[in-house]
Amino acid sequence: MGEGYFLLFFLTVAIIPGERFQTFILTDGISTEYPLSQTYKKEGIFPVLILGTDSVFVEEKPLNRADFFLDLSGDRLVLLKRLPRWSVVRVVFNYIGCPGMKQEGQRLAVKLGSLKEDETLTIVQRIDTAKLPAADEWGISGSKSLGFSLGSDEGIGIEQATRVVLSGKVEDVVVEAELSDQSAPIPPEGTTLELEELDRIIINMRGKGWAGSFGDVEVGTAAGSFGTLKRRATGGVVKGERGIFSLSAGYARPRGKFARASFLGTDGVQGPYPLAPDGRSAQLVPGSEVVYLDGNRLVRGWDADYTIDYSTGELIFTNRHIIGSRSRIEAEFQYLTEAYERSQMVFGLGVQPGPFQFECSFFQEGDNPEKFLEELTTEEKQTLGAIGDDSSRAWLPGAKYVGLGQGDYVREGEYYRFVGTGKGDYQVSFTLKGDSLGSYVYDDTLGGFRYVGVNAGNYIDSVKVPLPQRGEIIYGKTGFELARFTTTLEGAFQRRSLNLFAQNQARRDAGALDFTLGWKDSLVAINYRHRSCGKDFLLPAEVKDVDFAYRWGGAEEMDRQATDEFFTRLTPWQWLELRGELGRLVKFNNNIVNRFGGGCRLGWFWGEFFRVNESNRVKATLSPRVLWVSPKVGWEMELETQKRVRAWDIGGDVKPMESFNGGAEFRVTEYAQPDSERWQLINQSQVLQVNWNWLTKELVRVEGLGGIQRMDFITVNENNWRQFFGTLIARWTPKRGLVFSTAANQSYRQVQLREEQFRYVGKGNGSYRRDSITGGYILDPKGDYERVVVFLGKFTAAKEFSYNGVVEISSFEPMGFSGSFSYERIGSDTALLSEAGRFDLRVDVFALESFVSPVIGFAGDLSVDRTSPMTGKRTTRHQEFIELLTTRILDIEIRNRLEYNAFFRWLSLDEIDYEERGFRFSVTPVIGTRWRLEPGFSIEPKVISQPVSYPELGRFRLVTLESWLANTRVLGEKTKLRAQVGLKYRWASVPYLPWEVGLSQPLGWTPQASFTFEHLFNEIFQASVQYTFEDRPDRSTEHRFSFQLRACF
Amino acid sequence: MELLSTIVTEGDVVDICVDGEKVLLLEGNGARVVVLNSEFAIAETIPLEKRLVSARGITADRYYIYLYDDNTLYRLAKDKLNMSVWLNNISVAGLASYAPGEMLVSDRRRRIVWFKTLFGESRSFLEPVEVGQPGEMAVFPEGIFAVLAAPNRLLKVNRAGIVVSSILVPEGVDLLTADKKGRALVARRGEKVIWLVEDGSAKGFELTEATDIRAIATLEDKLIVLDGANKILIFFLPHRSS
Repeated sequence: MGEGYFLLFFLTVAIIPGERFQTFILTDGISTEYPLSQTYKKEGIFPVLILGTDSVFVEEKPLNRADFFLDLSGDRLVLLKRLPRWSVVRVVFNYIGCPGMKQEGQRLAVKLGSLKEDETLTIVQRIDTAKLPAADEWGISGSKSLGFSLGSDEGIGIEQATRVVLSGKVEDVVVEAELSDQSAPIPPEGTTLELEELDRIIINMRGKGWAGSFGDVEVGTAAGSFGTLKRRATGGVVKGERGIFSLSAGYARPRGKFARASFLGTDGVQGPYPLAPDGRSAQLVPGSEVVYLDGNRLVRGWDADYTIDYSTGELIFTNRHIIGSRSRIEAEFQYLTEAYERSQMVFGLGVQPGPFQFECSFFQEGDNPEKFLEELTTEEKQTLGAIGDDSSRAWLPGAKYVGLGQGDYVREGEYYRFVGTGKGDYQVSFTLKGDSLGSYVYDDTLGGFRYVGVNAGNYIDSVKVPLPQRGEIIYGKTGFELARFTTTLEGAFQRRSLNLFAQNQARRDAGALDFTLGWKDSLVAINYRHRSCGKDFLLPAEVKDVDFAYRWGGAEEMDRQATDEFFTRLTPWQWLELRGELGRLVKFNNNIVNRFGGGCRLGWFWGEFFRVNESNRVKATLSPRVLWVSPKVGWEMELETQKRVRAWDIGGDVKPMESFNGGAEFRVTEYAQPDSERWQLINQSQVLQVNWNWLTKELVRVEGLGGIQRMDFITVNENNWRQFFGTLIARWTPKRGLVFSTAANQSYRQVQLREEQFRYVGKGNGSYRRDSITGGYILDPKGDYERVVVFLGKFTAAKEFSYNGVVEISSFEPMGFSGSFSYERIGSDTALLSEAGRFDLRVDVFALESFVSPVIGFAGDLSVDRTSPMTGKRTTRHQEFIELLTTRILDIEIRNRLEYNAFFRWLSLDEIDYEERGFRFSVTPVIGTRWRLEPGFSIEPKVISQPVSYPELGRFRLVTLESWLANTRVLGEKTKLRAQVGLKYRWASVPYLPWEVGLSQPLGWTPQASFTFEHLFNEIFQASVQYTFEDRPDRSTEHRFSFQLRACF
Repeated sequence: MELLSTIVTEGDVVDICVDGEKVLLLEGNGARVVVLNSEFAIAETIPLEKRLVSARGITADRYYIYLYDDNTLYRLAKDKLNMSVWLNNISVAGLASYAPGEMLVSDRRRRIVWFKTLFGESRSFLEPVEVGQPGEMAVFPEGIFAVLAAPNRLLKVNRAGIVVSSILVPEGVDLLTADKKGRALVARRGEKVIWLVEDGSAKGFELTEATDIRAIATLEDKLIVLDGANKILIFFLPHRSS
């Protein structure tokens, strides 16, 4: 019956594609929404559109699917672009009449067949979380909590959190608002970033012909062919439309500053390529980056094109694109800067009468010079104002006299000496300049900076001040579009104030004009484009002229005074296409770049030729398709007066069966320079890349890519090298309950060297504590130091290798087995840089489940990060355990656990500082069916080897005994109480412990107690009270009391 | 139950969840999340920065998408798409949204249900003594959560972590979801029967179109079933019996 129904369903939707419906509409040139004829509707029948069968033709030419959608439940066609007046629109679709379904509510659709491959790979970067539902009634939901905590150590703290979601309709205005605000003392696990993520206000409003968004929004404006000016910001945007008029306005505080980077790759280095103004590191606005490789936009993702670390701005390419010295990388991004308060304003107006269009917009963003991160004195502002637009001179002294005993440094002649926290009279800020460019170095034994002589260090006692800037842009556009003919005229004026401290604000004005003329039909397309720019004209916008330098022989956009370009395309037959283009660039130094070329597609053959000034580029590709084989052969050459690059590649793709596809490519690139008579080969690079994807239902999945990259230096005295790279993902599921999965990856990259600095921030205010004997810094939430990581801008070549796997065997009755492991190693040619790994194996014995459930496990981990010498010391640990959980016997359930632990802390890769080995046995019974008392007891004896840092202690023993009693009581359905008291005792065979061991495991008695009270007043209000007590022998007695009232509505 | 639609996916899917009006699919290769819109057409694909070797599950709240493998729970901010580790060394058996940014996490190994709060700290919500062997979790209307506590027990718990009812469910069920009317739906992985738990009794529905139920979720009046690794079945939920 079931299979029959299933078959019938598919026959209904797949073989008999419902009923076909067709209707005609005449457009009025204004509306974008047209009613459909309701003749396909019948009483009690709800039409369900079969996706993929709907088409809209305008003057019998199919309309792009992205430009319309059919809403059968609303019985309407919605056009997403305005069509010329009196256009004849034909609407065709298939539908299934489904009886008994509701007609109101959201649209339903039947999806035919499987998702297409290209659909799965369609990647959009954001989820639209601000979707505005229509609402007829006001609805409010959310929560509000208010609490305070009182601790003997941390004092009193107040925390509050508010979340309100409001939606409704008033006077035909649909409103949805989301307000979220948190404030609390930041706990060790939380970070400021996490808090910022949740502090938000979003208000969306929509009325007839207008819509507005306030809060966390994307504010910007399109500047036609000049690019798109948009920023992620906090502010408001309003857009309106009435008839042929449209209006938009917005004001916001952008989260970041726009920047652009353009550079060539390095042979054999997949990254990191820092997207940072200083070339070292910058915190980026997440998701704000746009990355291009050789003119093609890339997609972020582990299995896509690149990954990026937003906290450092480091961009790393995946193995899908092997980076070489010819790889042209361009990126646009927004980076966080808190130097000045920034604001942004946009305004736009559009009119579209018939085939004409007029647009005008204004964009302004800038810093507020009065709101600097640190207060600047009038003299400092005058100093900065005097330098005009020369930002390289924007330095101020880093030393400030703060009074005797208030600072950390004292002045000795022309330099400053660190004398200890609160022992000097100067506070000094230092800036990293680079090796042998400064006079100071950071000394981690001092915990401060030390003067080492002029140009003998890498820091200076000055600070670089970013100059406050502002930019204004006015953009205008007019155009005419009739049938196949289009013409547009665009103009932009840009004013940049490069130093708002300067008297004339170091203004630079520039403008640009862009004119296009085009004709396009299915046979011919002709376009002409002219652009004239004033000196220094370059909008801070996502540009459309990607790969500008490559197309114009190395010229930069700022060089452009004028360009004229002419493009043509001719497609007489489906198998023949001819393209041609002609261009001329006039630079500000009056140099001229001429470019011309064209291409031809003849069936499977594609050839093209371009000449840019003295440079010639020729490319030919043959890519036939024979049954399931698609071979490909290509050849290209770039010829300049002083350089010749030739490359050829051979490869292809195969898809012999539905479950398998693969491909291979071998590419050779030769670099040559002219000799006295002929071209002399300098070096040759070869890349062999293979990819495969084998998927047999769920049984087997093997996918990945791999290859080799090698470089041979012919006449240059450098070492030849070769690198193997690859990614393998495999999964084997021979039967239900049996899973084997693994993944491995190897790639070549660089690692940026870092310096760890520890700055004293006051007793108990930091996250690190300093061991006075070893000089090391150890993580302690109640420490006195904060850790600051400085990126040095120096890179070392490295190989990254990782593999991991999972095994699950749960199909055998007596026992189940699960295991997983992961390992990652980054190393240079000669040394390990970082290493991390873990494994976990568990065996669950089911055979004895009726009275006891044993679990046996093994686990371990290791980590080392040699780029962080202080905090990245090597540690390894492993654990074996057996756990027994009994069913109720004589009203008692018992959980026993016996584990063996070994922990190793290393001073270096091959020298152990000390090791801990020992057992831990715990028993936690639950007594009584009614009282459910939870007593517990554990004993943990262990032996610690002689620590290298504390040789006087020798080898010693450490024993921990712990017992506790807990009970949970529920009073009715509204009150829950839980109380726990415990006592811990630690004993050692030595009078004191190594500092680090003692910090986490102090000797002596430690009584502990906790009490939790939860009460629900009603469905909305609840309160919780918590009290904890701990009396560690090495600290003062700690009491902590917290209260929280929460309303959920 | 009335079948409304069938979707066959190109890649393997290991888990599904509902996010507002959207349905999220976690692909088995652990590299992508596919988003279906309310019309069950592909809306977008979210690439993950870090691949989950043994991707297990997915859930979502207003701000985040939560993903887990056999050992780690990750959190992915929806508007920024940056993925970070939220809990290490955990075998997640189920998740339920307590409030946006706050989750109840069912920990299979420690036999405890954690309340992972906004600021990142974890505190126990249900102790081993209360929950025994925690499994899948679901959110019911009016501040009630449910957790599969043993192979045949469904515990309903209020916001204070008090068990308000313990319902007998068919033996061995390990999948759980709830609809907006407060009804629980449970199923056993690998089978084709869905049990609708309503007013303390369970009514079984054999999904003849399904062969191997892997995950279930509800969206308004519809039940979404992951059948095998490549098929999503969408059914209309039965009307409430009372």
